[in-house]
Amino acid sequence: MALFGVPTRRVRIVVQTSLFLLWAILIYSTHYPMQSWIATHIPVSLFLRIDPLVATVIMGGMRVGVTILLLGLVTLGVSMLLGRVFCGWVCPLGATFDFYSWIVKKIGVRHHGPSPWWFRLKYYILGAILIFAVFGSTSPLIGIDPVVLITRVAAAVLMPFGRVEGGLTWNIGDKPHFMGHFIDLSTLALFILIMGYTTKVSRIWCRAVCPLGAYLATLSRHSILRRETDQCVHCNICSASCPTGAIDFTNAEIYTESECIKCFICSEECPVDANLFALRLPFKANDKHGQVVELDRRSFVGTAVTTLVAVPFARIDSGTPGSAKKLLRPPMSRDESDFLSSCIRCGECMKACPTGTLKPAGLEHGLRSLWTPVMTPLEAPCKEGCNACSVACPTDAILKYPVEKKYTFKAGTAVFNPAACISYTEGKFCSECVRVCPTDAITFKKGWEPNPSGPQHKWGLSGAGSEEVAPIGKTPTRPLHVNFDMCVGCGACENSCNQIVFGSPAMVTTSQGRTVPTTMPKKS
Amino acid sequence: MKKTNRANPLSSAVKILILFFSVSVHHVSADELVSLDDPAPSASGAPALESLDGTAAVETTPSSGGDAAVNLDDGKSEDSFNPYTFSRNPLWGLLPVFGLILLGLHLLPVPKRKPKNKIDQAKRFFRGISGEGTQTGVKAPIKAAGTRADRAPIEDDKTPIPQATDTQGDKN
Repeated sequence: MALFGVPTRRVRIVVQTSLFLLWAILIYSTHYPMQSWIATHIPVSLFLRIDPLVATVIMGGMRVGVTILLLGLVTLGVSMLLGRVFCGWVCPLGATFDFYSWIVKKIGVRHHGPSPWWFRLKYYILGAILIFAVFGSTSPLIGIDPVVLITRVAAAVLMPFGRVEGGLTWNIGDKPHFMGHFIDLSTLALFILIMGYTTKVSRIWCRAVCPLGAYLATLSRHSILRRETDQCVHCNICSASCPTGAIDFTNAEIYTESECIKCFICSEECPVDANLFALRLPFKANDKHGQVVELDRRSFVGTAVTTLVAVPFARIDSGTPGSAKKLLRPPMSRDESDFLSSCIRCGECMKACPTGTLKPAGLEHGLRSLWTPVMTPLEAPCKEGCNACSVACPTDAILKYPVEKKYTFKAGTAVFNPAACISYTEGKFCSECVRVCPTDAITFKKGWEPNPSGPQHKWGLSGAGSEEVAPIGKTPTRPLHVNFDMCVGCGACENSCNQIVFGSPAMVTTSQGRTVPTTMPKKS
Repeated sequence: MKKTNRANPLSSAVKILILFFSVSVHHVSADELVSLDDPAPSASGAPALESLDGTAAVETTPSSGGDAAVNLDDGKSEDSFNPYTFSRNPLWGLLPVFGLILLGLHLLPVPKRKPKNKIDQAKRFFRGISGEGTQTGVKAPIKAAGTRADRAPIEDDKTPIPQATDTQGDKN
């Protein structure tokens, strides 16, 4: 089978490779200040925006038409017409599997064959995700959508190695004030597990787990691009070479349309050119060549009931001091409920963050917050004049805003604890928090300074970080309190304080007042 | 016969369209509004005067354009930026419902199909191309020489044949 005189499989490989390279370039370009040519001309989250499952879950779950996700509906339409071409031609995780399979084949490992008995699992996962969306919520299972997963692998597992100047860390809070780059162990373990199983069965993720694959499979039930095998000699070469096990092993004339990813490997492998793809009217899904997947009703009802029970439970957080409601989210994030409904756990914001303050949440904040971005001021503050996470976010969970409007709404509020401040407990001069605050939200009382004739800093403070003890009878310059209306929750004070008082900073950034407008003077 | 004064629906639609269009044309965008915070442009179009300390002096005389639109919100349009305002439409909730309906189609019973074991026919075919036997019943042309020539033919009773009767595996 040929397209413009070139075998269709080769055309697919060229297209698939080109799109994978585009995805990799876009991921690489997702970093502050997002001013590269590619980042300014193509949305860095393009592949997530054309993901129809993301579009369905986010727009359907939030009941909001997110403009940038409407491209996903185009993919939805294409899949209804041509089948799962997205899986075989576009999906970057699928391209990774195909490349991996090519290597495995080169070293002589045979891993094509029938699908495992549990290949229908993906349909039940899809059902759970859609039921969550019907009830206005987003299941954490959206985090295993293939485009989301491969993006998170790149953002939270691979890319930190590219920024090793600050070192690598495996646990949030391991090393206070350490500008390390967090590696998400859960995503890494999941990816290794998938690739390990792929060595045994090709595209096992696409066959049995992928919720997007299941969604496209349901859409492609009546697609018009169908396989025809009128001249089949039943050599079963196509059955053995099909990467998704779509072709019957006992009768190679029959295939399952919803499992076919239109990779055209069967066409090229066929010794008698009997595997042809032709356009046919989509009236009969189950005909002499094609068969449809039949789900077990009992399992489906079981999935539905389990999900309905799980919906309220998923909203429960751990109740610890750092529980979900108190998580510090990126600036201009939606309120917590809407944020959790619109965040797909892709990690684009973490990749874009120049300071590395954004880290993926673990299970300690509840199942619903798994893999969502959390600000960790103890590690690094939010950078002034930066809106990279907002630009990178594919679903508007972090709302779009111009840089000059960054501090018009609060992300949180710093709380001052004098009992942990060395200017109160030890009488030492510090005032670092006052210096670093970008919005001048910390009021202070001027007092003794170690070097009043030295270089003057903001507010006339001198002797930065000297930690000299004030003479008896004198009190050093010390912070008094944080102005709620002016603090934006960037975490700069907490980060700078921690550099002096290890372990228990006197300034702790909380999510109090999030989404509340500030009254500070207009400045970026 | 009683006469009814019914409006022509076509003319009504045209009137509504004209009304809508005229409203759209006369809409004044926020950029066109003149804020009282900004120094008003002088009638001659000359630039605003500067005071000795370098700050722009505000002209106190009213501008000549008496019919110019005036923003009465005291320059608060700058504060109108609020990304948190959005409107929900419950119709978007139909998207996941649509997905569930499509998924439900797979619950419909599928007529069972008798598995056809045509392996013997395949064996006869490969005997034919390898010269070991007589090719019978195969009319399809073989691909150009060399494409599959180096592929090992299936041998009798040695090649493991998958015994699965259903590529989809057992039901869950």
